[in-house]
Amino acid sequence: MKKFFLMLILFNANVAFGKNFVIYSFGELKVVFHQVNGEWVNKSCRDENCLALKMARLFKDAPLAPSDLMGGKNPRAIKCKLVMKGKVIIGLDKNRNQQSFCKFSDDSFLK
Amino acid sequence: MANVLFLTLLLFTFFAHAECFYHNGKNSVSIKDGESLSLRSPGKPLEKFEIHDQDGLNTCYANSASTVLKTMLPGHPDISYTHTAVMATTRGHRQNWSGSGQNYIKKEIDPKTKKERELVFADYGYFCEALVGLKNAGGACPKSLSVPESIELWSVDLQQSLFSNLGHYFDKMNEIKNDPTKLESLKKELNLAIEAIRLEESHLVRECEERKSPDLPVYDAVKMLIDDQVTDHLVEQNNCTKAKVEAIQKLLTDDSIIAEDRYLVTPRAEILNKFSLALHQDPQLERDLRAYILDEKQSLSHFAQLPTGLGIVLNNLLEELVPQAEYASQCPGTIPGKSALIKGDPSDFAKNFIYSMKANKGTKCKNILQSYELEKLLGSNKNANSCIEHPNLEMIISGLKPFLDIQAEIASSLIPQLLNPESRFADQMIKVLMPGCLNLSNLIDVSNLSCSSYPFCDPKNDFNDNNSYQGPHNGCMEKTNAKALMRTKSIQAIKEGHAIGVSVCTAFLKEDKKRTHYCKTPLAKNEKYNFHQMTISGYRCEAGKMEYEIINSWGSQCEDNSDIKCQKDEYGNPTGPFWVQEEALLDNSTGINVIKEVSSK
Repeated sequence: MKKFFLMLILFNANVAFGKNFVIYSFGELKVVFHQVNGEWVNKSCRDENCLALKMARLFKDAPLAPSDLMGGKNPRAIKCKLVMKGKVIIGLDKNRNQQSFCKFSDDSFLK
Repeated sequence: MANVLFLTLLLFTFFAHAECFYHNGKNSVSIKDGESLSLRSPGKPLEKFEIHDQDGLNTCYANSASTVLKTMLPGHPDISYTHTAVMATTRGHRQNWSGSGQNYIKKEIDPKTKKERELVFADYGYFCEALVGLKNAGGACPKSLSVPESIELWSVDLQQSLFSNLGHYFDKMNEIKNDPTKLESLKKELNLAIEAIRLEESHLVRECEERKSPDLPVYDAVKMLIDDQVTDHLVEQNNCTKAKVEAIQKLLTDDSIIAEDRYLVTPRAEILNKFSLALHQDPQLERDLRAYILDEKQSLSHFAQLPTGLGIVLNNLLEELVPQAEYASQCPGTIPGKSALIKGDPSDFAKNFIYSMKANKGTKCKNILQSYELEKLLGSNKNANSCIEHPNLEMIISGLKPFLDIQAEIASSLIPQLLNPESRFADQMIKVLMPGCLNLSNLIDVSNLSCSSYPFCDPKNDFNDNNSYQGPHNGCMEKTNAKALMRTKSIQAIKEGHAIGVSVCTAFLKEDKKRTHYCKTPLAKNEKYNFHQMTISGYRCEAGKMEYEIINSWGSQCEDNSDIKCQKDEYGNPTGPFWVQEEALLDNSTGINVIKEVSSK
């Protein structure tokens, strides 16, 4: 039984510290992203000293006026500009899929 | 006996509802439980589709139309959605957008906030209008020719600022074109700015071209090798990866960046020269490399010894450039004589190196002015010949800046053409954003295609392009009929390998079990529905319920709810497309849009 639980812990530890990083290209620059509290941010961003994580809280709660989203605009991109006062930048993943990010003045990124 | 009958009835009921069957007295569509067809599956037209992110642009109609066109056209090419948006709104039904004296930027007052907001000319198009616009333009443009979509961008707000600032630029041009004095002054100052950029950039262009040998281009292959090592280090962060990256540093230019979570690395010129020289040392190896790389039709299987031979050359070179002594103590398992910078078998590594060289054959230098700051030009030199004071020039330059930075060698030759207000402004827009799309020989013929819209409610005075409305006047179709219409059109199209467009209101994407009765349910005062266009790319029957596969244009954004199942990668992260229950999609749609070949019935 002890061995079973040990294996279970090791398995979960492996999953928790597994390779769940994603790299996006911004021109020649490549940035590594990880998840913190369900949000994808650049890897050096770990707590709310980083603007991306601080602003992520605003992101979920702040509503947008319907007029802000007219025409099928990406809601996260609009919130980035209007609510979080960040700047939208588009990156490409390894398969060249586009993804917009919100970039902040401390060079942190929020997906 | 009663139990047997009950069991039989139960089994019958189960199987009767297990398939997705619908019959309304006129049409019936049935698909078996578990049956599924997706155009994103291997071998299907959208297998390699690259997800769009329209961010703050209102180009959903163009994103969807270009996606559908990819499934319709021979070879399934990627079609530019920015070109499609410009054509839809300047050459579609609203031809008055393309005339002189018209506004490329419209201002309106937001009814709720009472603040002025700006509408760019490419906002608010229609799916079928996009096809009309493309036909009038001579065809659809490949995505590879569109600057915003094809070049790896390093500029914030690029898409929006390009469209917005160019719209302002052309409106300003409209204003001054009839004033010769103002126009001459603007031309002179802009030309001065361009000359200054040209002088600075010419040596950078030369430097870049020297790096990229036209016959055996090693730059991108070497960069890929270095990128791999740095990526490993940023992800793994152990003593071995750290030691290898420290050893690699001497291969890089002084301005390369390797930070905790990002990097931008450039190989030094002398290192690239060493790689080039190494490839020329063995005459047979060099002959085989040239034969494979320079001939598009050649297969690597015709050069059986090439990967092995090149693997040895690359290994020896890397051992010389980054000796094992610099990292072996930190990397247990280092094999003497085998460079740890080569992952796996050297011949497999060599294959990737060769493929990279072939893929980047003839690649032009791009993004060479990434760090170039136009502000230095605008204010730093008070010399009368270069001081730029025109009030509009800063706006124009800032609007063109992202494009100038990235496409310097093209922009500097095109800018003077932008100063010609007599030519169609839409054409000038195309010249800046996607110059190759003005060449008719680059466009893909769409003249054999037609588009029909199938609204679920009477469109009345709304934009009408082959509307085929089948419901009551001033009302909406019965749900049963609308369901049959959506199902028959979708299944028929997807079985033929074609996607279709669907017009929706977006609340159901975030709110669980949202139902709006074709986006008609009355809303609170000052609330409006957010209308959006997406693409249906597949269907399936799961546990007796019909579902559709949807491709959106919001990057990887997707939220699961009772009606929506997001598609995910191996780590459980949404990739963007999703499966949605038929009831939810139908109830939150205003209609579907279908593109067909003209000869089809």
